[in-house]
Amino acid sequence: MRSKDNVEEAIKKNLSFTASAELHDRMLDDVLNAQEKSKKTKSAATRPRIGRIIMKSSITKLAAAAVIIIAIALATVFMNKSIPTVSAQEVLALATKAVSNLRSVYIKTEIRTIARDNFELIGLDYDFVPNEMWKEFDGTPQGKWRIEKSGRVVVMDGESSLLLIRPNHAAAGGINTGFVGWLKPLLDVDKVLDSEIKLAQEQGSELLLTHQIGLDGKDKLLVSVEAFAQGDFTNDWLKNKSISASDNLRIYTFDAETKLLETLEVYVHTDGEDVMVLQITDIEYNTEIDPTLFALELPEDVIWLERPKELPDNEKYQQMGPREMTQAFFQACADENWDEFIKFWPTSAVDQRLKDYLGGIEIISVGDPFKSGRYPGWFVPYQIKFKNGSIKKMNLAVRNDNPAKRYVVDGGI
Amino acid sequence: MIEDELLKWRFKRGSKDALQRIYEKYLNHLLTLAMALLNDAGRAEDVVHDVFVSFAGSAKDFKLGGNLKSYLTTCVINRARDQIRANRRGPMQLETAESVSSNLNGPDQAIVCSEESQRLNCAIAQLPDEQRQVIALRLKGELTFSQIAKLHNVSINTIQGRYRYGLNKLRSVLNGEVEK
Repeated sequence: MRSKDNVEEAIKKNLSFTASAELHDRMLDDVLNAQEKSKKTKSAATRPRIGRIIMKSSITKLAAAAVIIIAIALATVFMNKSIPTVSAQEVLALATKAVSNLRSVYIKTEIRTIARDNFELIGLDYDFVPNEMWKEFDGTPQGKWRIEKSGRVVVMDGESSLLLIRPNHAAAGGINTGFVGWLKPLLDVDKVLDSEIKLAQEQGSELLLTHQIGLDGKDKLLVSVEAFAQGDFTNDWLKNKSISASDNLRIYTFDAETKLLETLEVYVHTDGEDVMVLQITDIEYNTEIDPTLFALELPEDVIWLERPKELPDNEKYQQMGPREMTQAFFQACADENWDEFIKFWPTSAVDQRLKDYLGGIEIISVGDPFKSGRYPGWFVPYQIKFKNGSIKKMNLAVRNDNPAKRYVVDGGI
Repeated sequence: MIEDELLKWRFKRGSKDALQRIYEKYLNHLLTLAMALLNDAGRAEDVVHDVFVSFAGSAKDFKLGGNLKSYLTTCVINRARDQIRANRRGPMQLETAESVSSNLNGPDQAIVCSEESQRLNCAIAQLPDEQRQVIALRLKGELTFSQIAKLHNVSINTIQGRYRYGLNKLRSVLNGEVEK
């Protein structure tokens, strides 16, 4: 005898129809043709994104802020009336309220980046590099935190931040000093959705929220953010070199009950494929964090990265444009004139490894500076030949938004 | 779950591969649901075909915040119900149902199934239309009783009653088969 439960199970598991190969292929042809036809019938003209238009106007910004929040709520209420959705109240609560009783968070991520390079750098061809992040919520806006990968670490002890680029380069910063770029809002895990909503307002990204059942059988809130590369990419040198400089999809899952972030995956959209560049591999809440993690012991031979100071002949250097500065910088390397070198490379001393690397180079060419993305400085194309005969062709990043108002090297070596 | 979000995103940007993946991922689920609701291979095929073709043409305007599977399921349910309403033949009679189901696995059939599936579908086909729909929506459409009640514009108690009676009848039909 079949019981009622057996009948239910039998229908759930065993009632199954399959398309024949012929039907599968025939229907697929129709479906793909419909997609092609739809693409062709759309206007060829590229319409400016409504979000961008709205955000250009200061008058509409405030209204847009409200509209975005309401739109999220409405989307979840009216989309697919017959399937489970999130209530407007729930969305707004999630968007505006910090997670209560949060004492600490530990997040482990994998990012396609370079271990020694800045935290914001990504590369679609790079291997995944593990990153670890700790934050203690101590009631202050900044809290105490640490972000670390094998090549560099940043620590905020509640009053100031300290960056160590291993083995021996360090920089001191304040409460709001950068160093970690896009990872900082992620570390503020209690406000991560709030940050995304603000970004949606500022940058015109699209934010959608779904209620779903996770693999563990628990109710999840899934937030997907479609974001667009920020900045001018007439020259695309910076495109896809950071998350904010890429068209990307960020998919967060939150536990629907606790509102705690559980997973994040970030995919960069390129012409050919979608490449995952960041994923959370572990996240733990309210675990004890060893207080010593919020302090850094610096090596004895530490070399400090400094803000450029005014020089006795500062005006001479102020008058140099990006290209002239690049030429002068590489000439100092070629001449092994380290007193001159340090005027363009603001550190407390010149590392011997840097002297070995750049000393005696031959300048092959220095090109015209260009802008890319949102970088406040310039990129200067160069080609140099090292003493060992190898040739390097790159773009030197230079900027002068410093108190001395002269161009210095910011990257690209 | 995350794969679907990525598929939606890529589909919206016109990816052919994403559309094909969505099609292949949900084709049989949707066919099964359509068959359970309509018990007619031709009409089930039409419904699923129309849903996918319509979906394929909607990429640019696609603003789906919900679950992709639920969305496609809802589309199939709506179209199948339209078909049922348009075709006042109502639920198939026993003889017709048996003949349709028994012909499913012929050499030229577009939709194929196992013997057990065929037997179950044949049993479902013998239910009154209202009970059949509730059983199909609940067990193959994965809708809650509350959602089915809204869809049919009746109380949740009515839906639960139809479901209970439907299951009882199915059990009788299937056990009767065993006893034959």
